[in-house]
Amino acid sequence: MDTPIIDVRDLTVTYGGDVAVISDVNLRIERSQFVAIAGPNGGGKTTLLRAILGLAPRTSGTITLFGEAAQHAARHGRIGYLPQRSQLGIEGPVTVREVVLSGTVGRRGWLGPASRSERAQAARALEQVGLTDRASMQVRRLSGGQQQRVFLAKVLAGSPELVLLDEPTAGVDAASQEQFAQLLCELNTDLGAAIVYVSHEFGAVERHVDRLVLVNGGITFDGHPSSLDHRWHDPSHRHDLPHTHTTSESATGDV
Amino acid sequence: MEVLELDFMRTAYLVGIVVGLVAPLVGLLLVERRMSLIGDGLGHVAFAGVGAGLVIGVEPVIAALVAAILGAVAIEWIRARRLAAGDRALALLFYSGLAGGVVLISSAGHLTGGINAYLFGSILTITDHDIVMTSLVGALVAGVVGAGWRGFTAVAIDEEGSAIRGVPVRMLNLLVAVLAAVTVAVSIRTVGVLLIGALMVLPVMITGLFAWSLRSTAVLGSALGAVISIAGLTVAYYANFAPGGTIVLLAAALYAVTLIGTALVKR
Repeated sequence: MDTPIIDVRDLTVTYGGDVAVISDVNLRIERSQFVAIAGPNGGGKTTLLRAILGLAPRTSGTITLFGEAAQHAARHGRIGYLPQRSQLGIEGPVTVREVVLSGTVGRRGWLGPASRSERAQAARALEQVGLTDRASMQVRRLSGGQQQRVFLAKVLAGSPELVLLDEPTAGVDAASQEQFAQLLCELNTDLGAAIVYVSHEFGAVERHVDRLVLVNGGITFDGHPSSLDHRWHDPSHRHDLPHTHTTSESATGDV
Repeated sequence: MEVLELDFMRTAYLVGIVVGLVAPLVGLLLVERRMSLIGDGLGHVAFAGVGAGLVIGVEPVIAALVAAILGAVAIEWIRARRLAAGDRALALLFYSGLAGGVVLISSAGHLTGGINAYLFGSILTITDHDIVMTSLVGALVAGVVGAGWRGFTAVAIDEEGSAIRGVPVRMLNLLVAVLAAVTVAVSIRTVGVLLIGALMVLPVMITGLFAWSLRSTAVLGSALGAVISIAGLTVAYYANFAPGGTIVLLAAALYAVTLIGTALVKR
């Protein structure tokens, strides 16, 4: 059996010493999978993502990426991460090309000018997201949906084998969300990179993903979206998702 | 021009040009990291160094350099750990620096007119020695910013994404803080510790209104910093104003004019 690209075992993360945000999480993600991780706000999905990336401290459990510790995988530039938009520095006059080219900087390459191959990688990534004609524009002048495509291009410019996105379409209109999901699906198929899409709302991607993981204190559902109880597809019921700490009820309709 | 016939003014112009060129380069890195006020805070800490230098008999600018670098390391340590009380810790560091400087300078018996030269800059205190030191340090700072430009901007655009890619984020952030500290120290003669933060940030804010990229902001901001320094020093000489305050007020006025001008052009 192939080494999973992400292997989380018995993960518990607590904040403030005793409040468990997520507990006893087990999650295996294989190469080339397109997975959505969703759940209500405060349910722990972003904590899970940040723990996988080594950005949030684990209380217990183990996490490996490509069979090794996250920091080792990062050193080899195999991971691309798109944080929430509020964390990105785009208030200044930074251009689309500057943002995308910055995605080629890794453990090496931060000193001195960009190489010809790095410029070609950035140009190719811009082409993949359909923004070649906007390369000289300032990112702050683009719509929310276009900004997300710019940052996806930045991630792709690093040629990652695993792409993790945290609330990538927050504040973006429904049409742009659908367009973004379609783009992710194409990239997943064409490039073969595993994609982990974290969002409180999975409506835009549920037609495209191989797997849906619902998180609310722990994993409450893990399977194909088609096997999810119909009531959880309705966003108005999303906050009623069973919590692993309070109930053993499953979100699946047929179990 | 009459003013260029004066040795001390030629010296002041040379130092002012170097500081004006370098300060916005570092300022851009701070602004893009949403740390615009760090230069101001480091000025406060550098002032404690000036006081310590006067007490122990070390060149005040050298002592200010050491204090500012130590302050920069402390600031980056607090920031990198995202300490809940980080904001208060920085306030404590900055105000303690300023208060420490006042107490040390008073204990050395210099708490009279001389203190103003360090706080707000003074054309008359700039020496030939300052030209050499400022030029060397300025070239070093500009060289480091130029060489590490891709790394610095990658971290400013997306710090966590860069960290996940293996970019040495902590080292680069520490380097930016140290560059800011060095810039503060070499600018003491021209604009003084209380106003150097403004010379780092205001030219960047002005060019940010019309520049078309990060790189153009850096180049134009740097050029504008030098022009504002020359203009400020000239006005300060003829009007007998403190140079630091004059340079910063000119920059602030230029920002207001540019803001209105760009708004009118867009209408």
